[in-house]
Amino acid sequence: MKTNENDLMMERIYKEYYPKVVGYVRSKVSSPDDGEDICSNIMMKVMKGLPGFDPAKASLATWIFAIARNAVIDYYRQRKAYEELDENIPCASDDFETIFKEDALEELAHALRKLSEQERTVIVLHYYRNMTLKDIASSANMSYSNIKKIHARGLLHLKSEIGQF
Amino acid sequence: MEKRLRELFDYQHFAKNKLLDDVIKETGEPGGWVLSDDDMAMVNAAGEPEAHRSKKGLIDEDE
Repeated sequence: MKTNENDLMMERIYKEYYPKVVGYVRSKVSSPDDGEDICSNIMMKVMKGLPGFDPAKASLATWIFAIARNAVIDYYRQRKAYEELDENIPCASDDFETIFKEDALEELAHALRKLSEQERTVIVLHYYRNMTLKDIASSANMSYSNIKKIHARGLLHLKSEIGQF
Repeated sequence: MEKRLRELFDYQHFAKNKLLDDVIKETGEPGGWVLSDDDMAMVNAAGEPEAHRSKKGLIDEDE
């Protein structure tokens, strides 16, 4: 990719993806200063890797997200020696290309709407807001075992709606 | 399944898909939930949960 094209591409990436990077890092890292450093590192890696980016192998969104996710994982790995592992740490994926597609997110949205309110709430709080089932039980003023049942039912219903993602 | 779900929701923090974002925003805090009839059957008058036994004497699971 020529320098001019690179610059134009970087400009586009900053405009379109930097807010997404910031939003993602903020959802994972509580310290604003650390978050800012991580975002800067991510964009530097994007800039460095851009000449070699092959759109045939992955979409731009997927590629940038992978860099962002790995940056957050590295951040928590460095902290692990000193603190307990935070529940916000993303898990490694074997095949993120399969997972990280917009239509998978839309499919999930449609499937969630078919769940009961309780099942949907437990699923969203547990997997999106990273609340433990015990914390959800406490918040709902229900027993932990009831919340576990609702969670299990929710997973079964999701599986019946969309099978394997 | 759970791992895939966690990965998708993790990606949603980045992608902010509109449809899924609407579902998430509409999901409020849990509270004021009433127990279902099945769950109520497991609670006796004293408020203590007890095993609900089916004809086979097994705990009756919803799943």
